Formats: sequence, structure tokens, C-alpha cells
Amino acid sequence: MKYRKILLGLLLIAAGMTACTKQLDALLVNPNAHSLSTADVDLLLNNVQINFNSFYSTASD
Amino acid sequence: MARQQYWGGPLYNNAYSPASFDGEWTTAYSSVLNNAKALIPLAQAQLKYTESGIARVLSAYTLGTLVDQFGDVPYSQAELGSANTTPGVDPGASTYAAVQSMLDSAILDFNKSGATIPSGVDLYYNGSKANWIALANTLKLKFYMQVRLVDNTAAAKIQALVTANNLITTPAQDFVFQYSKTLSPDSRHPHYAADYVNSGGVGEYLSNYFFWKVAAEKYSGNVNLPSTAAAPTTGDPRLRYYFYRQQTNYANANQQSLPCYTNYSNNVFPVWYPSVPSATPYCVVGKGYWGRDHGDNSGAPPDGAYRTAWGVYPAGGEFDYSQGKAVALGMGAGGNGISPIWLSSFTAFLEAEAALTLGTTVGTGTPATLLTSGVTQSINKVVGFPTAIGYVNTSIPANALASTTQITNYIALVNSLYTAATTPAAQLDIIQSEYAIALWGNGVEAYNNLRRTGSPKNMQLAVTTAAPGIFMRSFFYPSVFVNRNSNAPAQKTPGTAANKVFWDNNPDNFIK
Repeated sequence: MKYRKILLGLLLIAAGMTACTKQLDALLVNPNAHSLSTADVDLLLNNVQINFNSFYSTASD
Repeated sequence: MARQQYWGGPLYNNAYSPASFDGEWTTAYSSVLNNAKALIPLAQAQLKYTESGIARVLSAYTLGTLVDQFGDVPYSQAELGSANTTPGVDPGASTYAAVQSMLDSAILDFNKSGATIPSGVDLYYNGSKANWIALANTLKLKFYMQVRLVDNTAAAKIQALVTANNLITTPAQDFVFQYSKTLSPDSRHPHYAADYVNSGGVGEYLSNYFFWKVAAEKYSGNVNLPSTAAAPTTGDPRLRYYFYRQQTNYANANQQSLPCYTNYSNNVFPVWYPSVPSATPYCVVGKGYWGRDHGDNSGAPPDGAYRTAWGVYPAGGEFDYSQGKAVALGMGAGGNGISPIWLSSFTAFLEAEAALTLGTTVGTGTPATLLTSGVTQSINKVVGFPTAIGYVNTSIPANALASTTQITNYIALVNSLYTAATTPAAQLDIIQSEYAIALWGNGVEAYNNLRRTGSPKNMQLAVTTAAPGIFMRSFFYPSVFVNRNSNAPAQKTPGTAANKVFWDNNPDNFIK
């Protein structure tokens, strides 16, 4: 009986750890982070273009 | 430094401080190059090859210009994030090679099939890949021309690019940034914003030399600005477009408002100056043009109401029809100007220089015909500019506008000067003089050309001393670089030493 309880406890711990790992993986994905496929390239390009002209203007004076 | 705008001096070693260049450096590394580097892999993954090509072209121009102005700068160790927060510098020649590779990669990107860039995203060419390719090729030409003194392989590369002729050769391909009239956020041309205000007057000085160069040099030093009583037949057709005078005479000039005026009136000029005004300007150019001499470090008097402002080209200011009115907010084209980063006329001048100095074959063109092409394209760009930006002012008399006869006569005058030049050096000086005039609003190329060719040779000398030190052949490293980066090289000593960039093998005293 005692061994059964220990075995059951170990199984529960193992199951809990497995479940916890799966949840943790999901939690570690930052919903606000951009991926290669979702980042807005055109927004970034706007910044590059505006700042390029700013650089030119400063270098030109 | 290239005398387009006023330089306060009085000595080359104290005219600037390292902190003067912090903004330019920070914008380049923290904004343009950093964001472009982040953008390129994203764009590649999303098949947005036009976007990645644009990012590469803008990065190439930025890096090349950093080398032109500072010499050896960080490249291979830069933009690595936390992996290297103290990047060392690369030799200028290595960075220039990387610039050429970037431009090649950009052309490859533009030639790929991928996602179409959305309308309105491309602020320069509105998505025209053909124009971007022409720009990339033109920048390759520009950077190869820059190294022609130190790289004996450059001539063949220049010839190949000129022969292929996929360059910026028409105004429709001009590489410009278009400003607007919008005040908030302030999207006006920065020199319009500095000059056109309701109180205090014009906030900066333009260069007396540049006034003289455009208005007077070819006319024995006397300003040639025809009256508006009849259609103009002589004079530089761009003059009324380039500068706006608040005063058309010097009735307000006195010892307080213009301290050098007494000396000027008494014909007392710096003894180291050549003949005034036929060979150089001093203090006053004529007809109300109000600027400053090279290296004048005297305090600024309350002369904001008299200073000459940037005109309708390229700053979107006012057209000068001799109205002599004070500047005001919203006056003229409202700041709806451009940054003339690369124009088709610049390509023609560069080809003229290549044909003359390297023997480059440019179709059927000769240095003389290419010079004519450059001048013609520049004038057409400038006199067509008000219409191009939608500026209408019904008060402008028709006779104040450039006329066909005036344009024809001006080009004929330039041609006669070129024909009269008997040596290649003198001919190159004519080409570079006209190139310098066409560059109004582009100090980047003016400074590069001056160091590469030494022309225009009649640059105004420093006004307060005959010995201002050695002309700055590169600038101080910015303080944000040398003070915060343990791997930065020792600070340079511009003004005391030449500190030339790698492509400049001209003598130290080449430029005054």
C-alpha cells in the first residue's frame, strides 16, 4: 500500500512536470514580439528613409 | 567648408568641436544603419526585395559618406548589438569596398520578383525599381570617381558603368527628399524653418562667396541681376530662385549692422586677398545680397531683417523679384522644398570630369558637351522648380523669370569660358565651378569635389587672418564616438594636420 502511494505520487509529479513544461513553452512566447514573418517591414523602412534624409541634411550643412 | 554656407572660423582648428558631429554620427549608426540591418532579413523572409534593396542603397550612401567625412569608421564590428559595444574602425578603402558590394546586392534585390511595395511606402521613387537601380549604379559611379586618384582600377569600372548607361540621366530620376508645408510635425525644409519666421528675421548667414560665384564672378565681380523692366538676357538664370533678398540695397548697412562695411566703403580689404571684387568678394557683394565672408567670427549684430535667405530652390522659400520684403512665416512656397541628394545634372558633371581626367568615353559626348548638359539640366531643374512644387505667386512679374534668351546666353558664356581654358586643369576648374553652382543645397558633394579636384580654385580666403591653418580634409571624430568607445582611434587634429581620407592624395596645402 505504501509503495503504491509512493508510485502514485511519483506519477503525479511526473505528469505535473510534463504539463508544466508544455504550459511554460507557451508562456515563453512573447505575444508582442515580431517574427520574421510578421514584422512590419514597411514601418521600419519608413524610419530608415526619414532618418536617412536627416543624416543627409546634417552631413550636407 | 565648401563656401556654400557661411563658416565662422576664424581658424580651421577651432571652427568645430567633436560634439558638432554627434548628431550626424548618431543618426547614421543608431537610426539608419541599425534599422536597415534589422530590416533586411525581415524583408528577405517576406519576399519584400524592393524594401531590402532600398535599405541597402541608403546604407551604402550613409556608410560611404561617413568615410568621406571622417575617414576610417566602424563597419565590420558595428551594429552587432551586445556582441560588440565598442566597435573599432575599418580602413576607409575596406568600407568603400563594402559599399560597392551593398549596391550590387541592392541591384540583385531590385531585379528579383517578390511582393510589390505598397503605394506611398517608398518616399523617394514611389516604388520604381528601375529608378532605384539607376540610383544604385550612379552611386557606384560616384564612389568609383571618388577613388580615381588612388585606385588605378577605377577607370575601367567607371567606363563600364558609363557604357551601360543605366544611370540617373533625366530629372524624372532625380534622387530627392520632398518636404512639405506642414508645421506640426514640422516637415518643412530645415533652412526654410530657420529663415522664414515672423520675428527676429533670417536665422543664419549665407556665404558671400557663393553669392558672388553665382551672381558676379562671370561679370567682372559685379552682380548681374537684370531689372524686371524687360525680359532678362544675361546673368545666371538661377539667381532669383536660389536666394531671397530682404533688402535690395545697403541703406541699412553701417558700422553696427555690418561691421566690415566701413572698410569696404574705404576700399580697405585684407592684404592677402586678390583683387576685390573681380577675383573675390569682400563684405558686400552688391544689390542687397547680405551674407558673411569666409571665417568671419565677429559677433552677430541685429541684422536678421537684412540677411539674405534661402530662396524658392531648393528650400521652398520665396522667389526674389526684387520686392525687398521681410521674411515671414508661410512666405513663398512654405518650405515645400527638397533635399537635392543626387540630380541628373550631377551625373553629367561627373561624366564630364571622367571624360576629361580619365579619358572615359561617354557616348558621343565630350567634356565640353557634357558640361553643357550639366548646366542645362541644372538650370531647367531650378527654373521649373516652382511649378513642380505647385508654387504660384501672381505678383511675380513675367520679366523676373528666367528667359530662354538668358538661359541660352548663360550656357554660351560657360562654353566660351571652357573653350578659353587652355589646360586640362583650367578646364576641370570650369567644370567644377559650374558643378559647384548646380550643387546649391548639397554640401556633401561640394566638400567631396573640392578635396578631390581642388576646384573651384578661387575660393574666398579666410577673412580675419592670412594663416587660418590647414583646411580640414576630414572632420573631428564625434565626441559620442571617441569619449564612449574604448576602441576608438585617437582624436584627429583637423586644422593642425590635414587628416586626409584614404582617397585624397592631394598635397596638404591643396585647399586654402
